[in-house]
Amino acid sequence: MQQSVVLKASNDGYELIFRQAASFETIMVDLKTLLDRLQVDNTTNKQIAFDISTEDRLLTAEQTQQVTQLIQRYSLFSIHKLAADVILTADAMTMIERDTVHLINQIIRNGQVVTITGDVLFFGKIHEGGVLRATGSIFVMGDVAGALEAGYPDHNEAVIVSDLSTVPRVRVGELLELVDPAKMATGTNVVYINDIQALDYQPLNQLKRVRPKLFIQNGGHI
Amino acid sequence: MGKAIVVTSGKGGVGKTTTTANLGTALALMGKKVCLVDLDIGLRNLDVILGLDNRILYDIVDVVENRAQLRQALVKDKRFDDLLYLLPAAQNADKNSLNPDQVRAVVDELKPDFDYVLLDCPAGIEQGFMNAIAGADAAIIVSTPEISAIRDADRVVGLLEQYPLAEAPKLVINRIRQRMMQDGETMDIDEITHHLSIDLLGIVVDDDAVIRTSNNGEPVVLDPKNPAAQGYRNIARRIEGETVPLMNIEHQKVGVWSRITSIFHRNK
Repeated sequence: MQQSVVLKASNDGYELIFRQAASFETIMVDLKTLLDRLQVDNTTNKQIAFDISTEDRLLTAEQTQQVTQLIQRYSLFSIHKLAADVILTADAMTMIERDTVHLINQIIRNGQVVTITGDVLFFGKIHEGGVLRATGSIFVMGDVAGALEAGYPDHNEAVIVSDLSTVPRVRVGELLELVDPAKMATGTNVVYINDIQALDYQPLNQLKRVRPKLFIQNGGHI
Repeated sequence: MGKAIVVTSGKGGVGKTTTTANLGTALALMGKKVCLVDLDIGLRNLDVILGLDNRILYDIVDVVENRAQLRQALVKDKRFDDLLYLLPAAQNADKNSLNPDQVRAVVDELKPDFDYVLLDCPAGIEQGFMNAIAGADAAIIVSTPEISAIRDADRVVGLLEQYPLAEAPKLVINRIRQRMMQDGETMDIDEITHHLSIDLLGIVVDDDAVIRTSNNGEPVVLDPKNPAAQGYRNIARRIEGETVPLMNIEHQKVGVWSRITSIFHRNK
């Protein structure tokens, strides 16, 4: 029969794998047996910190505590890292939300604040007094007479890409200001936080220079 | 089962109460049974515009607090043969005397007996507004061509998107000064409608007779020749589902002869 707890040694140290096919109760019994034997075999009195993998199983807080408490009973053993190959659906959805460019086509009216998690490509209309707020960057193709707030509340790497001629107020990360016509370029502007931590505007063709990371995707350059 | 329509605007002084009174009267003139509900608690004046202020015994707060039956509080407008009624607002209370559930209950009790229940909403977007929209199936947003009124109307449309009614809100542009609009001193009808992105229900021109008639307790809509009255009558017909073209509001330039004859008319 396959063991419920497998011990693997590598250059990085020791790894304990809790097989997902086994029940948690069996794992706890087998883990205790394994640790007892290890303690006896460990004649060098060397401290061992385990990396624990729970494969496709997420331990509950209570189960994590049971594992931690069991290992703490052995003076020479500790936990370096406890990880699973899976995450909660809710966490996955949050990650997708955060990393997706959301296409928004709506009217944001006076007094309305539309908050988006992630980046926004905006095709709608923002009326005077309306606010479009995103945790990521904002790219505008629609009409804006309201305020744009990118990187809300404190993501200072975010940018706003928009024609600013009718925009009264911008915010990127923690900095906000009334749009300064003197700094504004004709056409589409990029609003970002520069090296001296001030809001700065550049023409659209400077976007790649000021935020090269926007154009890097997972896996390398495109 | 009747339909409840809230007349609202956000901004004060744009003509919500006048619009409610005139639309109610226009619908009654078309043979519809209408109940007007004044929800401007503490500052009632729908009764004054209708000339019914001396005939109030009970009000809506008396009804919700069970001091009176609903039918005891309804004031009948005798000019319209059992077609037009008013449920007055309380004068010695404030907007917090009512809650949305109570207003909804009153409106639901009225709807089976009337073709239309028009709710006159107070200015603002606080408790009074929430009460007024609670019982409504549809909304008429009244705005004047002023930027401040349009901004507030925009805010109200946004709130109605948040608390959606059975029907999308429709716009009435009130107190249009033809000459100013023609000269580009105010936004024109297309600009306002496009800006607010809601359907236009109708337009009403600014006319001295509106104030004069309301001072006499007779809604202007009773005068079929008056241009503001025509605007209200057209809106009432559109509410009834008729297709009515938008009235021409082009300002007629006054010639010399017209001016001279108008002086004689004035002196009559």
